[in-house]
Amino acid sequence: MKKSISVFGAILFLLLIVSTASARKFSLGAFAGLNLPLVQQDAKSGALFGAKGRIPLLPFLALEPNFVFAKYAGKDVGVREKTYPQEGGDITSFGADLLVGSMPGMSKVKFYGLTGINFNTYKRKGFSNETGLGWTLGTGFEFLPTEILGLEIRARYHAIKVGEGGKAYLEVSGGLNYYFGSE
Amino acid sequence: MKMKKKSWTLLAAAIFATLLLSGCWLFGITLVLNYDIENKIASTDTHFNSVFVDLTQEQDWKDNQDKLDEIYILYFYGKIYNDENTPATGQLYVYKDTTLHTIAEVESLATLVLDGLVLPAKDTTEVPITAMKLEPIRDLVMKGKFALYAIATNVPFHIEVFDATVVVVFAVETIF
Repeated sequence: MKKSISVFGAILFLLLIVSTASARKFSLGAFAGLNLPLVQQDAKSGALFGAKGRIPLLPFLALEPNFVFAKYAGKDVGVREKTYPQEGGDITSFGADLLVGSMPGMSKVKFYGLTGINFNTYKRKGFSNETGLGWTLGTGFEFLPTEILGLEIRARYHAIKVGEGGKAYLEVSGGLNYYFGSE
Repeated sequence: MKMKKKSWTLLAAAIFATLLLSGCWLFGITLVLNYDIENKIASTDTHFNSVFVDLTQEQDWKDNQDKLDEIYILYFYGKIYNDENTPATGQLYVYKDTTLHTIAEVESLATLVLDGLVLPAKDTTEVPITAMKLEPIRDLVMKGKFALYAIATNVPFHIEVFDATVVVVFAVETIF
């Protein structure tokens, strides 16, 4: 965990330096929302929150290193006319998304698509932790009432490799972005 | 600018190909299957039977067995009656078939998947839904067929397992 945070921080720092050198606006943001398991008969929705940095690479392209902590609840298991509640768990994710679409400096309203990869630790009480690669695909909408503040909502499909199988979630979140730098 | 666009396209294609080649977990689903065991397991230290669990006869398993990726959890639920005048400690074992006939064979050849079941004398204990040790028998469960044995650590012992259910949580690959 500490090593992952250090690597994530180092990558973000280096990319921020590159971004500053390129004189485009970059941002730091925080977000929260819902983590919705997709077609998982043993899990229910939970909350999520996270942080990210946006580094513009090209006028229509940006890189977004991110950290997400998401919870999920366990679904009750029905056995012989009885119901047993099951423990949920949580997922810690470090990764980066590539954003394609209208980036800051072009208008007050932005739409974008995103895709990315991440590294995940999947935890469930009473079971060993699992780690696995993840993949994301999604879309977002951002409104910039001022030059330095953005209000954002996004939906992101997140598939995680768990063992030899995969688990998929829909992450729906809202957040704030604070912009640095100049155009 | 053209070279940069081409590089990004190639990089994205390479990453996506790597993800795909590592398995179709990109579009995985998780199913839960309940298998009710109709027969009793009656065990003493000299005579016992086992029950054969055949998941391949269940519709959810039949529909998905060619796309099975992983078994995540194997649960046991059941009731155990201890017919002795002394308390017993129950154990569940899993083996590939029902051919084991002695306690020594069960203990040496089968895999212990649930231990420490406290069974008061002359009483029925309801074992709530409990996860069994999956790692040693994962490959066996992936095939969908295995035998369940129930014994106790005490000698003599006389236990009966009834109203039992095995619950399997498994991953299936699919394309939306």
